[in-house]
Amino acid sequence: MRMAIVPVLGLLVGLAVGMAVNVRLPIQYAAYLSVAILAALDTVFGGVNAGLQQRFDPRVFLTGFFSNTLLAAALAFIGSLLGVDLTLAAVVAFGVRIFNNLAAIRHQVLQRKKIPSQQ
Amino acid sequence: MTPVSLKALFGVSVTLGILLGLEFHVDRTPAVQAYTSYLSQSEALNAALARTGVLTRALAAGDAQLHALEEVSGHARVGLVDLRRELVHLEKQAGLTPLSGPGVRIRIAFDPKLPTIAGLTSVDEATQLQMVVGALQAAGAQAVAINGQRLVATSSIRSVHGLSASADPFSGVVQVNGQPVLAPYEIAAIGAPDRLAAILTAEALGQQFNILEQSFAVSLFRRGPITVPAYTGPLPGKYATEVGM
Repeated sequence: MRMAIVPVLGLLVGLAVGMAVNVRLPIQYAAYLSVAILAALDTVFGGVNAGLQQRFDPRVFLTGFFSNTLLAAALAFIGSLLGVDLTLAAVVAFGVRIFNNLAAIRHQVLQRKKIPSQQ
Repeated sequence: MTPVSLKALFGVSVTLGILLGLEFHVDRTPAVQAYTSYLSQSEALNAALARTGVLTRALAAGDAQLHALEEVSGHARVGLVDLRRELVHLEKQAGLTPLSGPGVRIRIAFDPKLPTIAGLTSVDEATQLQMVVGALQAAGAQAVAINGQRLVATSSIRSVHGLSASADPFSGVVQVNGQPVLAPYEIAAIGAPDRLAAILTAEALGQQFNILEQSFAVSLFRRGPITVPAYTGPLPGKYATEVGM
């Protein structure tokens, strides 16, 4: 139960802080921010999947989150410098991973729910 | 899950929430719209600048008009002061203001000590007073009054016989400015005292009055305690008006 409450609570706190901050981001930075969010979501879903499989490692989770986020944003930035839309590559890669993680989570959740009913 | 894992999960969630919150602060105004807004504001600025010239010229014209009005007002003020000064001068000349200065005061009164002229029953006092006034004016008198009645250009001195019950030769009534004045008569005249007295002596008016049983006393005032009151009678204009007005 705590595993579900803690992320939701953290998300709400982060949303409140992010919306309360009085900054105005130019449209040019929107792509970097979007890719960074996508990478962060991928890491979160990967962490949830690992937690369900009882192999969650906080060090891997934290390093994966920040490295993926920063690397995704950096990749988008480099792509804009090179004139290649590398944002698309990041979106595809993270999108595939997110769906895979979601599928794994779904399977884990369904198996867990089946086990008590089978017993 | 261990507490460390929960802390890591919480930190990542907070960071993700912040990233999502920042998404709301992205300025998603289209570039075209921004450019259009820039163009419209630029046009508005140009229009305002063009209007500034017009307003500046209108302001300058208003300033010039204000200066002109102030100048005219100044002229009118100066003219008003001149008119008031002229009015005071004219009132002084017309005898509408009291005057004071050096002069003579003449007292004419019946004197029973003087020898009686047989058969003298009346004296035309108005004519006698007119003679005195004429002599004084000939000597440069600037203001004359008889028993407090100021003589002006429209003044009259006339005798009305038969109105007095007195038995002496001063049996008539003299009207000055239409107002009755009774003997003894006191004539106040402002002017050079010596010249006024000299003309009275030269004309021998005193002797003439003495013959008519009237004492004729002249007092000289060289430093000016003589005060002649203002004319308070009616002014022309009630019935007579200037032609063309």
